[in-house]
Amino acid sequence: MEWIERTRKGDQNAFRLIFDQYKNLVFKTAYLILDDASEAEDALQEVFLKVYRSLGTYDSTKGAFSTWIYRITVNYCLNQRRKVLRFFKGRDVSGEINQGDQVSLDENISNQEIIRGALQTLSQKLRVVIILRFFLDLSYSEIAQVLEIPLGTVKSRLNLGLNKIRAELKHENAQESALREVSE
Amino acid sequence: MKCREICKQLTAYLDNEVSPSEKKLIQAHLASCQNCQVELERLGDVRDVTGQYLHTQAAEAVPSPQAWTVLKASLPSSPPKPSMLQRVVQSISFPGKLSLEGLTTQRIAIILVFLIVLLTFTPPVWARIEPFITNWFSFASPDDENEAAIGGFTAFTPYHATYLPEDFRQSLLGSTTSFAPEFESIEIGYDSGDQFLILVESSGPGVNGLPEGQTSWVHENPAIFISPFATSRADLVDKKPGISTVIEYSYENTNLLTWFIGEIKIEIFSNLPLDEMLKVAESLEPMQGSEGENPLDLP
Repeated sequence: MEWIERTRKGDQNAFRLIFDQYKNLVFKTAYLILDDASEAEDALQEVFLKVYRSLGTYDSTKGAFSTWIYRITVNYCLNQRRKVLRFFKGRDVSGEINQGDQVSLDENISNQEIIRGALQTLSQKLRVVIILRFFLDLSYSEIAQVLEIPLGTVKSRLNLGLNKIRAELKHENAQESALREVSE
Repeated sequence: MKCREICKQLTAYLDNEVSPSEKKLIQAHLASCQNCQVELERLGDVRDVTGQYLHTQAAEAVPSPQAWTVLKASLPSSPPKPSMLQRVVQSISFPGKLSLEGLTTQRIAIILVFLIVLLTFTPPVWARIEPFITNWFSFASPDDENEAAIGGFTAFTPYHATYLPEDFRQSLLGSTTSFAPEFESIEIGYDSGDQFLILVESSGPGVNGLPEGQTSWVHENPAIFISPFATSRADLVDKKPGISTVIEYSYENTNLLTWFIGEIKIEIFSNLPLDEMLKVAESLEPMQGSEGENPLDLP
């Protein structure tokens, strides 16, 4: 791509074209993984800074540019998750966990909230493949390239992820039905 | 094919990601199995609502109009060149990757990314890191198949595990600074499929004493074991000014074992049982320190 070559020579205007082309997808993907707008803003900055500094290492014979950018995005987000883990240590959060669990019983939850809750119960591994497949609409082989995992693993993670969401939906719907019965 | 085998393939079938022969087998089974037809329909519904949810959420998420201006101010004025660190990363063909997964049989130089826990990420992480890479710590995996090094870590000589349960491999290496002045910590992650162990070593004013819990011992040092420390639904929302701490903690059945080696607080987060965590804890040894460039032989 011409823009890549021009950026490699230090043309920041060319880099802006790359930024404009991919900023929304990077931001939205980060937002869906991190589930936080301000963290997604940080991700956007860090991912494009990484892209700029690493353009010299991008090899078009090894995969599409978009795949390379998605890989950087996903890795950044997953490392963020590992990083925030550190804030977690040493805190007694058991009370907050329990409070969170009770919310679903006390409120009339919309389908959107149920799905959001279901996605949050997934491990990062499963959640990321779900986002790459059903938001970015990547094929299984593209997902395998982004995550550097075998095709079979993509298949099994997607199947497991959807089934877990389904189980969660079933559980929440059952709770809601029970609540309705009690109130009637 | 049996129903169970068919069910494993249904998502790929819906996505048209099965081979023509698999497709024929699945279609033949579906034609004669009402249960699997229902299963397919329900899975299709879940797939649709999940996709709709993701697109709805994403539609509302728009980057700040100042994003380019902020980014441009962070870009170096000289053309982008791969730094020594990036050349290391490039050598394993995975920019930004911290994992050793898939590369077990060779000596691997993996490195270093400072996971800077920060208030904000400006100025940029790399610009902060690069001037400081003058010292390195390296270590080998217990089976001697992998080597790793971390650069720029200065607070103390970190420890690494010389014993790991079978099939465990290193999957993460990073360090944290700037959490509080003079605070620094190092993090090493190991995993084996569904099992994991994260070793966190930290020192500085942000480090507190031991929490309350079951008393244990690591060599002669008093230790605390907490089980379970967290569960998979541990979503913690705790906003502090400038620090984003919206936590999603996806590991299941996590235990914590923590103690001090001198001034260094050691914490092991793992879903292994206590006896295995203690074996790892008692195997810790100091990493090898060196000055200058990365001590590992780069491919």
